Amino acid sequence: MRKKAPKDYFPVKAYLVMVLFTVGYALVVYRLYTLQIRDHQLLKEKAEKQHMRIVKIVPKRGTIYDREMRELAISVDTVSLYAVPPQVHNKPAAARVLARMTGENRRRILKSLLKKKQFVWVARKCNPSILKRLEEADLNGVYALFESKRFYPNRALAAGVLGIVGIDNEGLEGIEYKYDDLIKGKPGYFLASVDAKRRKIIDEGEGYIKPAGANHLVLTLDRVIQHITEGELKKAVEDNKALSGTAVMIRPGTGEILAMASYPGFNPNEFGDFPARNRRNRSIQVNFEPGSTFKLVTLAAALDRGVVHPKDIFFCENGAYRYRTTVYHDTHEYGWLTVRQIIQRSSNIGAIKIGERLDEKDFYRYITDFGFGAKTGIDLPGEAYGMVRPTGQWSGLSGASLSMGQELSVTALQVVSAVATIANGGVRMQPYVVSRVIDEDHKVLREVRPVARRQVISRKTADFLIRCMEAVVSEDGTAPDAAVPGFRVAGKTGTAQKYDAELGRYSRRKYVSSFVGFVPADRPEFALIVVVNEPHGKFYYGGLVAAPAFRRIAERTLRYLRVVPPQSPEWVLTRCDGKKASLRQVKGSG
Amino acid sequence: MLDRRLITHFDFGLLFLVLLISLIGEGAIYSASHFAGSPPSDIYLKQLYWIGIGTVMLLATISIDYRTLHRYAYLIYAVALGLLLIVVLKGKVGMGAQRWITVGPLTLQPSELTKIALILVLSRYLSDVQERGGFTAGRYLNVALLIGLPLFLIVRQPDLGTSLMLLFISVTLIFLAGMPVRFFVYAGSAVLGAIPFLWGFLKDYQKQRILVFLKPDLDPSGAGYHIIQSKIAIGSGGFLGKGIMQGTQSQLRFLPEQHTDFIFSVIAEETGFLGALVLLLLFAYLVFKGINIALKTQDLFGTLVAMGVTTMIAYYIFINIGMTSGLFPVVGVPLPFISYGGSSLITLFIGVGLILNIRMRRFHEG
Repeated sequence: MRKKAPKDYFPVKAYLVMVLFTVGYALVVYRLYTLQIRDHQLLKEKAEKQHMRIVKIVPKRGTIYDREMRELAISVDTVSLYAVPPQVHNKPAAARVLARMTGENRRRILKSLLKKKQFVWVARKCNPSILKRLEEADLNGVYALFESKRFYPNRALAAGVLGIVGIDNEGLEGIEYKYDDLIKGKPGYFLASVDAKRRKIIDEGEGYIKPAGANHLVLTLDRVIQHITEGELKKAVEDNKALSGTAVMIRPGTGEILAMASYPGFNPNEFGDFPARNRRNRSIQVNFEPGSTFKLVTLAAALDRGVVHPKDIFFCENGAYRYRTTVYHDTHEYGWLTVRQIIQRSSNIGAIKIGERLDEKDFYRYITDFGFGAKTGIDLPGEAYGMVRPTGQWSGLSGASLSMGQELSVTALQVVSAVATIANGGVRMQPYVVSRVIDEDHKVLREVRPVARRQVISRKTADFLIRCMEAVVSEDGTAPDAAVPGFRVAGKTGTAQKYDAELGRYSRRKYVSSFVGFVPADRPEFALIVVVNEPHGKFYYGGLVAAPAFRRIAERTLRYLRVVPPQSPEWVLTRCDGKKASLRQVKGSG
Repeated sequence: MLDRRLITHFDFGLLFLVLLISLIGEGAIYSASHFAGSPPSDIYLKQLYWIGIGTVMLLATISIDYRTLHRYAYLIYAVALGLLLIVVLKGKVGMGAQRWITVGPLTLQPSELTKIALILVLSRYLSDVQERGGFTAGRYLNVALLIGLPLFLIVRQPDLGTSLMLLFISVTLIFLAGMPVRFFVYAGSAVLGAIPFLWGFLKDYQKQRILVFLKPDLDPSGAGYHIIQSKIAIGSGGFLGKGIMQGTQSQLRFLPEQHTDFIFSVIAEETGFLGALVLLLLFAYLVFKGINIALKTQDLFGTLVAMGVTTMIAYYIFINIGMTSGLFPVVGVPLPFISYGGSSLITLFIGVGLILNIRMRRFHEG
């Protein structure tokens, strides 16, 4: 029925087709040869280059604890969205959906999606609930990964000390900056396209390097004391209509910082919303002229050098003293004053006369030995040096000015550290804020031991200075408001006129008022300085502006630390727990 | 019907070859859909299921004498045209084209099955023409109509790849069936002349594919992405490949459409030049076997059907590998028996069924 294939020509044509295919296959094989063998190296490099598109996975930053292991800074899990632009189909539509999802600007997202890149961020550090919405949106080329975000549960508390962290987990200020290497952890990596087309976050497998855990920090700060200090500092600044203020509390025996406050402060969770000046740690980054608190240094040097004896008396010229080219004044007219009374009443003329007895070089040495004019070396970044002129640059009046705390600038930490030195029997301790570094499993990696920097003055000198300072808070002193009922308080006021650069002289309206002291005077738990910058209220004297804040902070802190007033019977009981009460202490309490 | 002679003439080698290639595809799909850390995908299971269905279809095709198919060629062609019309009327739209229809749980791509129908109807008509004394002007027109109708419906889906495949298969069949060579010269010139007009009919993405093919660097992260990535994947595989499941380009998902049209890149990356060559040899052997069967077949219808199916497979292979290795522009043509996809797999198994059918019955003169 069917005609046979026309044999005459068909096989020829079929072979022709076969030849055609053979040529085609040869072409393909040649092509594969060029790609896989001839150009192999080049294409392999291209492939590897694509792999270089690695994305860093931010590890979980270590926690910062206070001394009682209460959290000051923690890390929370967040979700970040990124896109692989070539895979995103309808970019304007995708940008719209993403903008709605993340609350970010639509145009910014679209701009990133239009970039000729293989990896762009869409939104960083969103609430993890965004994962579900991303999955529902089912967008091509948009993926998610976990990132950790810094969170400060106590908001502004100790913000100036803790500092801030940038979006890429880099510590920018404060402890976060100083200890960045220790607490940032080891970042992980993944190839941007590894998880392309995958919604789930990868946490294993090829092209993925797991981020390593970070260490944690334990601070010397106490969250409660910090809270008390910040609250009272704020009240002092506001009550006195001042610009700003700072307060530092330190343990004289160890150098541990218990509290370090600056006002106005900021919330590190939203640090962008605050002016940069609020982020300053005023305790260490702001210089000021100390004024009368510095008379302690003058006296300490003179006593320790032996040029002034505790029993010496000085004639205070009834309030006006011509020294070389200048006439110096006291706020009240004094006649003869004992050394102790000079401190108690804060006589400028008395201080100058004490200073006059000191050799310039000796005076300068004591000033620097107390730590002025140099960084204290506290483990916080951005510490100011303060300014103390070397003797070669002194004018004829410099000795007098320095004696009463002028012609130099200091930080609050330097002052409180110097006073803590007196409280500690003349031994200056290295101030520090981080006491322990612990690893993920809370194993201690590094324990900071208190370091004695130097015996600045003798214990005898220190003891006498303490008695002088106790007089300051008596009814006849400049700061009866600093007295804490039931405790012996030692302290010194400072009221420094600010130098007005415009006028070229000291301002009569701008002051820095301060009070520095320690409690209990005989067995100090802590030394504390309160500095109030430019009070514009009713008062400007340190004794009236800063001393009340000192008292309130001291009072509340002592109560929190359960330090019992020595005259109460419980005192004996509390001292039974290992610490022997000496006769001197009992007598001293009377 | 199934007497012993049918069994003895059954080409088990060809069936084995086809199943072997399908299983290689199965492995490639498994590799292409399993990435480090990703949830396991089950498309390799689906493909296995399609291979099973394909085998059943193949056996079903064998059980019907191809001369019966000769009788029903026009009916089969009409059914195929009907399915294409349904696609036009109520087809499923996907990726900018309307190619699919849904039958119960299945999604069918009628343009795939049209290839078989067209091979059958052309073989029937062309063998009839030879029997009745050769071509006349009217018969040229009929051939043109037989090809033109489905082609028109598929072009407007639009499915450029399948249209081209149909055209290539048809031209090859006409050529083999004895259409004078000068006709091809005329037709070739006509097509070249029509290119500027055809350009206007192309969809934007089709135009872009061609432009990007001509110059992939125009848009390396956009439209040129496929070609560049595929070339990088193949090239970085080198001579021995990176190892199965170790292809960085595929495992890292730089490769697009890697379990369907670009599956060859995965194979070439992971098994290297050597692996690709082995696969090509298997394919070449398959094509050689097909042509051999066609040549040994006594009747023209059988010869043409066997040649049609074989050329279809050969073109598929050539165009797909050419496309993935950057020889041709990206047209959506699957790699036979390897690429993931039910419709194409079933079409191929039916086609192989036809060849086997012809092989075992070619000595019966009815």
